[in-house]
Amino acid sequence: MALTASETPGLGFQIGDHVCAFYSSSTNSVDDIVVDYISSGLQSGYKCFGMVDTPASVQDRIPRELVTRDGSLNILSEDEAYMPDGHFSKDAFIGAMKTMVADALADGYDSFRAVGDESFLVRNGVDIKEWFAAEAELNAIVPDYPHFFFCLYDLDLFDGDTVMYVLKTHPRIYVNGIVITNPHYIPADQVPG
Amino acid sequence: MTSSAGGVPSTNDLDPAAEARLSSFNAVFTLALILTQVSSPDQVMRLVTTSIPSIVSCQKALIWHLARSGEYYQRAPEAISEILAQLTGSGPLEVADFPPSWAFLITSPLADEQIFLIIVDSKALSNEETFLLSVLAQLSGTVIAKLELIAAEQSSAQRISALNTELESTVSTLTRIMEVHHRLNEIAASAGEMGIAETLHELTRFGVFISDAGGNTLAATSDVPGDYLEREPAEQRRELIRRLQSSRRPLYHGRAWLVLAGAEVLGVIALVDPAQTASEVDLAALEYAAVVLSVELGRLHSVAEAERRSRATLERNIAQARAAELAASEARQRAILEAALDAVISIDQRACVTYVNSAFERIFGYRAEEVTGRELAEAIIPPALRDAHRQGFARYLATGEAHVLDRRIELTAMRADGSEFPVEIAITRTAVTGGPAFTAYVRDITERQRAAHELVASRARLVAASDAARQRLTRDLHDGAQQRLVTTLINLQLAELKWESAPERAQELVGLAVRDAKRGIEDLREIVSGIHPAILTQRGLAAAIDSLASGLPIPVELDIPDSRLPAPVEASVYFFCSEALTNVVKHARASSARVRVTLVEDRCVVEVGDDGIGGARPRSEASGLNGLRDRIGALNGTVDITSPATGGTVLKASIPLLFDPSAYPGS
Repeated sequence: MALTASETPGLGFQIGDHVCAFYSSSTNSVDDIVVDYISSGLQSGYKCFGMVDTPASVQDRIPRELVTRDGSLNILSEDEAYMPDGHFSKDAFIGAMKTMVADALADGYDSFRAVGDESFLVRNGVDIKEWFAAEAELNAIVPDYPHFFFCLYDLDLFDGDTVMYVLKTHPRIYVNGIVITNPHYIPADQVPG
Repeated sequence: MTSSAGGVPSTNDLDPAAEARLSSFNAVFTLALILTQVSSPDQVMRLVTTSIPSIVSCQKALIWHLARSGEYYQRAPEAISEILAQLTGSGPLEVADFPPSWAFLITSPLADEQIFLIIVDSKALSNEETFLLSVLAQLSGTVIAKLELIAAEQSSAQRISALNTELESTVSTLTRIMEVHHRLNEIAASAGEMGIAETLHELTRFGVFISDAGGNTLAATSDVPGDYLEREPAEQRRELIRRLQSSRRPLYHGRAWLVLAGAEVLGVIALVDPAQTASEVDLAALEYAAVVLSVELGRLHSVAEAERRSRATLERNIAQARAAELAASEARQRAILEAALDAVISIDQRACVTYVNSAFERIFGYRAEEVTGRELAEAIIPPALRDAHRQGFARYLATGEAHVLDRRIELTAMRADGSEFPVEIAITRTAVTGGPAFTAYVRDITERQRAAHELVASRARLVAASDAARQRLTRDLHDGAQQRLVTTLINLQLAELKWESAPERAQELVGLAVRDAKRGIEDLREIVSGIHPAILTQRGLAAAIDSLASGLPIPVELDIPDSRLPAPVEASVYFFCSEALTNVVKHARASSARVRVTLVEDRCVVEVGDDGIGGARPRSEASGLNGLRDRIGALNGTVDITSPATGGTVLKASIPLLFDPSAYPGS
C-alpha cells in the first residue's frame, strides 16, 4: 500500500480537515507519509506538529530550507505528545491541541497542520473509548481554527472493530492517495447514546 | 437532512431501521475502501471478521477453509465441509451442535481454493445484511486475489531481483575473473615467476610467493613475511604436495592458500591470507595464476630439458665422433702396422707382448695369439741373450737409463722354430695409461747381411780378378810381346853387329827382327783387345760381338740392336757375351749358339743360349760365371742361369741403363 501525502494541500486536503489514513507497518513506514505531509505544510507556510514513534527519523528527513521560522516545526514522540502526564487524557489532549492551534495563529501562521500515529494506543493500552471520544471532539475544533488533523492507524495493530470506530470518528478518509469523504462518519451529535 | 463539514448526508431524517441499514451499507462500503489498502490476505480476513460484528447483528464472524487452518482462518469441521463444498454463493448452515450460521463463499481465483465467511448465530440477519455480507465476501475474495497476485508478482519480482542480483554478482565475478585471465595472459609468456607473483599480488592485494616442489622459494612479493618462505621438512612437504594433488580447489595451509602448478608438480603458488578473507575471485585468480605458472615452469623445464638433451646429444656426438676418429685412427694405424714390412711388437711394463702385426707373424713364424701375453724374451730372444735383455729392461724401469731406446741396433733374434737370424730393431717408449709400454720395429736383415757379404766377396773377387788380369797381362806381355820385342831388339843388335861383317846374316837377322816385331805387335793387339776391344769403342756392341763370334768354331746367331748404349753397359755386355760364348765352346759341347740383346724399358737384357748338354754350374768362387756376376752386379744388374740337365743353357743378364756411373770403377 502506497501512502503518500499530496504534494499540495489542494489535492483533497481542506482547511479544517480531520482525516484518517490506514497503513500497514509490515509493508510501509509511517515516516514516509509523515515527512511528505509535514514538508508540504511547511512549504505552505503552516506551523507543523508531528507525533510519531521516532521523531528523529522524521526530523532528519525534513529539508532544512523548509523550516523558515523557529518553532514552525515541532515533532514529538507519541508518548510525549499524547501522554505528557504518563497517561492519556482526552481533555488534556484536546486542550493541548486547541492551544497549539491558537498559538500558531497567534504567531502569524496561516494554518496549523498536525499529524499523529496512533499506534501508542495499543502499546499503552489506552482506553479506546476515551480515545475515540477525543477523536470525535477534535471535530469540534473545526469551526474555530484553520487546521489540518491527520490521524494514522496501523492495520497490523488495529482490528476491524477499531477500524469501524476510526471510520465513525473521521469525516474524511485518505485512501489511495486522495482524501475523500468518509461515508461511515457519524457526527458526534448523532452517535446513539 | 443536514450536511456536515465533510458533506456527509445526515441521517437525522431517516427512520431508525433505514438509518441502521444505511449505516451498515456505509460501513461495508467504507470497509471495502479500507480493504483495498491492506497488505495481506490474512489482514483482509482479520479486518473482515473483526469488523462484521460492528456492522451486522451476529455473535461473531470467522473464516473457514476446507483443507487447513491459518492465523485468521480455521479448518472447517468435517460435518460442515461437505455442506460447504456443495455451497455456491451463500447459504445457511444448520448443523447439529452448531449455532445457526450463514456461510458466504470467498473465492480466491488464483489460489483455486475455497474459503468461507461464516456468520455465527445469524438468526437476526436481514436480507439487506445478507446482501451486504455477500458483497463483502465477494469483495474480500477479489481483494485476496489481488493481494495474492501482488504477492505472486512481488515474489516473482523478488526472485527476479534476486536472480538479477545473483546474475550481477556472477557477471561482476566473471568480469573480474576475465580481467584476471586477461592480465595473467598478458604476462604469461614473458614475466617469469616473479612477474606472475607480482601480477597476482596486484590483482588480489595479497602477498604471493612461489616455491618449487622441494619448497625452495622461486619468487616472492615484498610483503610476504619471512617465516612463510622457510622450508618445511621434506616429509611434511611431500605430504603437503600429496594433499594439494588430491585437492580440486586451493588448499588453506599455513595461513596461506596454496595451489599446485602443473600436474607433475613443477611448483606451488601461494596467496598469503592469515585472516582467510580471500574472495572467490581472489582464489580464482590464484588458480589461474597457477595455470600460467605451470606453463611458465613447464616452458623453463622444457627449455632446460631441451638444452640438457641438446648438450647430451652434442656430447654423445662428440664422443661418437672421437670414438670413430679413434677407431679410424687405430684402424689406420693398425692397417699401417699390418701393411708394414717390418715386424711390430708392443709390450707392456712387464715385458709381455700386447700386440704383434702380420709382418711379425711372417718373420717370426708365430701366430699373434701364440705370442700375445707371453714374455718377449722368451718368445723371440735367443737363450744366450735373454738374461742380458731382462737385466737391461729391469734397469731401465728402475733407473730410466736406456741403451737401446730410440735408435737402430742390430741384434740376433729367434724365430718360433728356434732358428736365429739377424734383425735391425728400433724400440720406442709409448705413454699409455697404466704405466710405460714399448713398441719395437724389427726388420729381418738376413738378406741385407747376405747381400753385404756378397758385395764384400764380389769386391774381393773383382780385386782378385783385376790382380789376375794384371798378372795375366804382365805374363802375356812378358811371355809374348815383350819376348818378341826383346828378340827383335836382339836380332836388330846382332844384325847391326853383322851389318858390316856378314851382310847376309845381318839381312837375315833384320828379317827375323821384322818378323818378331810383327808378332809382337800381333801379341800386343791381342792383349789390348782382351782388355777393351777397340772395335767396341769405335763401332759399337753389334760389330764387336759380331767380330767376337766370327772367331768361334761354331755358328752364332746374333740379334743385337745397332743403337749405342752407355760405355760401361756396352763393355759389360761384351765381356758377358765373350765369357758366355767361351764357356759354350769350352764346356757345352754345343753345335750352335745365339746372342740376343734387347732393351726393355730402362734395362738392357742379354741372353746367350746354346744347344749343348746343359747342367751348367759354377765350379768355384773364381769361376767365370761368378766373375760375370761381379761385373754385372757392379752395375746393379743381375745374372741368372738356366741350364737344365735335359740340355741347353741360357745365361741371362739384366743391366739397368740408369745406373750411377760413379759406382762403376771403370766408367
